[in-house]
Amino acid sequence: MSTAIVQRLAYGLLLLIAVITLNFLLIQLAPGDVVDVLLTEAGGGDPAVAAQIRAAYGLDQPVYVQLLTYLAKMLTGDLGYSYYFDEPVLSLLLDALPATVMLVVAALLLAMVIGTLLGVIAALRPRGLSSHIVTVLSLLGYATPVFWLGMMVLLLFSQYLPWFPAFGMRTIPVPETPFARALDVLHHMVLPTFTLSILYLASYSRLSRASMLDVLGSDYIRTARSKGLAEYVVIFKHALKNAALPIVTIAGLQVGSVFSGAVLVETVFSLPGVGPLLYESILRRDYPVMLGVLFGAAVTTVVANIITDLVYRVLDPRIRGIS
Amino acid sequence: MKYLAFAIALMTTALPAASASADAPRQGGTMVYLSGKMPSLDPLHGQYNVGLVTSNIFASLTRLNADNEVSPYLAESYTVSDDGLTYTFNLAKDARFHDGQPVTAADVEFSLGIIRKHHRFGRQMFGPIETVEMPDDHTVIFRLSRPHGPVLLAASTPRQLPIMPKHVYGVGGDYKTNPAHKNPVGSGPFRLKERKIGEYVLLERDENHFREGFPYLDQVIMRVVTDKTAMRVGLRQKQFHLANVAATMRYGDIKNFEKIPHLQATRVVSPSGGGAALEFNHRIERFANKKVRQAIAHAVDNDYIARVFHAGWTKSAVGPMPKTNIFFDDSLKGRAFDVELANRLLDEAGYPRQADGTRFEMKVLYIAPPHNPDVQIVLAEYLAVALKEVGIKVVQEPMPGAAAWSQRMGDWNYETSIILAGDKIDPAIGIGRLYVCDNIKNQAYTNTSGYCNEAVDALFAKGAQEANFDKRLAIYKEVQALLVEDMPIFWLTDASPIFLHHKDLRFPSYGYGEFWDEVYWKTAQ
Repeated sequence: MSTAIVQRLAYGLLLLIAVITLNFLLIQLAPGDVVDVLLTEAGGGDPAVAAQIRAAYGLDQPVYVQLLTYLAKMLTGDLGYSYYFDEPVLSLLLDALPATVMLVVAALLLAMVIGTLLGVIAALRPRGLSSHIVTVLSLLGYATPVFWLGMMVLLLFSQYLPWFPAFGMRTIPVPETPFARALDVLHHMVLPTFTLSILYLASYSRLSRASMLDVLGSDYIRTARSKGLAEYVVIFKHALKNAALPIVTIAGLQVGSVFSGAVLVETVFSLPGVGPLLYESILRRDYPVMLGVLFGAAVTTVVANIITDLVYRVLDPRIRGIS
Repeated sequence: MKYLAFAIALMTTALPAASASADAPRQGGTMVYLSGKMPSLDPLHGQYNVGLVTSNIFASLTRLNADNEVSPYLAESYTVSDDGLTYTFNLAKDARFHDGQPVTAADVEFSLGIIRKHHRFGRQMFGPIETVEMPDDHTVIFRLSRPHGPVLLAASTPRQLPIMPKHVYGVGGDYKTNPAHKNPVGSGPFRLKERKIGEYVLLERDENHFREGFPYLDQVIMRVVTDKTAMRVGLRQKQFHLANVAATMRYGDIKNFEKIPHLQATRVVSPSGGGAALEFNHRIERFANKKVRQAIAHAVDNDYIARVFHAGWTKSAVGPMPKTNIFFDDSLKGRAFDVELANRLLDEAGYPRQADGTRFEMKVLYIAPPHNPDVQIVLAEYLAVALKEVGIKVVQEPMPGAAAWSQRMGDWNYETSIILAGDKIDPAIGIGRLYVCDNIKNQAYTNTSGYCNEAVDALFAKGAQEANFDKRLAIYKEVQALLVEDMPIFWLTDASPIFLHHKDLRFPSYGYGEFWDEVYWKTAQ
């Protein structure tokens, strides 16, 4: 078991170095640099000043020198300094993280719980009306573009029915008491969380429906029923517990992909998260920030996969023996 | 200098008189500004919203009054010697930075040094200043090696000369990476209270502000909103009291928002302006031909662009200077819309129509939507329609974003391109750079077209080295006539900032719309 962990960690580390190098080289292919953007946004400037900024950031160095400098800095834990935001990359990331983590975790949990429940309902009468409704709705949710859904939700629940705020994570100036502040943030997070969860709700309901159908046909379910157990005990204790395994796996794998949905939702609802930060830094060719965000995403994905792997070993005795 | 003395007199007498009238300024209240991203609070960053917020945190030496003339600000008075070589500024005695320290001559000297080194136009604005003298704490003297026209105008906005405290920005290492950019300290009307990047900036009234009675507002909130649907919802629901139209909506949408009872649009008239133009690459044989460039200018109805595509919110351009620039030649007519003349010029230039009716192809480089569609794709598409009439087949080259566009311009790798160049108040800073031979550089918004005319060069050099306004005006009139003859660039529209604001908010339509210390609520909110 411990050699397996060491092996996984070593693979993870190699993967991260590969990700950094690839991202770095990929960025070099994009036309223009941050100094072009800074000057063009400001309507031009003295070429001498442009040269001076490039020299200060080392942008005038050959690509391999820039890459080695960056890797060397990374090894000391320094993610670099943003040219566009005038701030260390780490502090930018830490500022943006709470909004994104809150959004992603809330949306995933919501999608998992509601999606699984819908799947269970659909699986109970696979040819019934409720099953068809769940199937159609989840396919619709899966096929709807997130940004469009976000805009529609915004118009409906902020403009026509002004129940929820249309933008941001809090009221400014922020409320006085901690309780009012928390409530305020919750109020702001309702629409974004709902929007992001719709996409994943669909995949969970499909998955749990299929998985439940599979399990409900097994011998031990028939045994449980013949013992005279109540139906809800059979469904939730015997069937769902076994059907949940693939759902847990998917949740782990999805951490990476939820991120891409979050970029769109955060932009529509003006949340100060990692998504807009990444988008801005790509648009502005602010390489250190962009690499920092991508590095963070890679670390999260790698760690999530390792954890899923380990959890799986704990949950499923059949895997434990194989290393 | 007579008009300056008049301006000073105006400043001191107009205020008490105004406060007695029925529409008296009200003290207090909060204004919420709908802001785009504000990546930094470095006053020299250059991004629009950063400049807007730092213009209210920092103060400049001079300022523009309601008639858009240079007037005293942080320098409560100033004199210019007759030979134009000595500028003396007397700082307001009670001016203090937001940390309580007094604003001294040393801070001005320090700020000037930073700006000359780090500002995008440091050399063009203040290059000829040779020495800075500080006879006492409140007097600064700039001594120039030669007369330099732009000094007073360049010192008139914190976007160009923010006075920064030496004890804050002079410590903590390199200016670019100074930690103070997270928490700026200035002597402007508002101080920074809170800031969350990507979310908001909260400014509050500086109680010790050196301009007695200003600012009126207690608090200003700049709220970052990134989605246009959310912006519109917020505007309708009175969650924002002020918004810059260019960042929020298309020109064509303004009338819909003006129908909302509490909203009103105001066009700011400032001496600094800019607009859209079509730049020709003179390295390409067709566009090196003056007659071709003139023909294109005659073939396009730029009045139609301003009137129809921009719903009357821009003006058609007639020459290299925006109509709002103080050196604009009022008698300038520009090139009239005349398809017949355009056809004749193209025939004379040696580009007859082929069998299929076309003369040649012309590529137009621009930045693809969603980047500023009113002055990018709309213009490119209209050019295609208009120039088809004279047998020029326009091929559109949309670029994905400003970075990609800048690189093509810097490589001189284009045929024609839509450009949006500001005049940066003074022709010696923002206009000449696009035309003079020694600024043919591999960088967007230099003279990337490759145009070179010694007479134009000589006039721009003369204009920069002249301190007398009337003499400068005569020089710049001459250069405008020369450029309209040569048409090195085809000027399409003149744009001024337009702000959408709450009707009860008194919003100054001068000073770039940035003098928020003079904003007040006309009614209690």
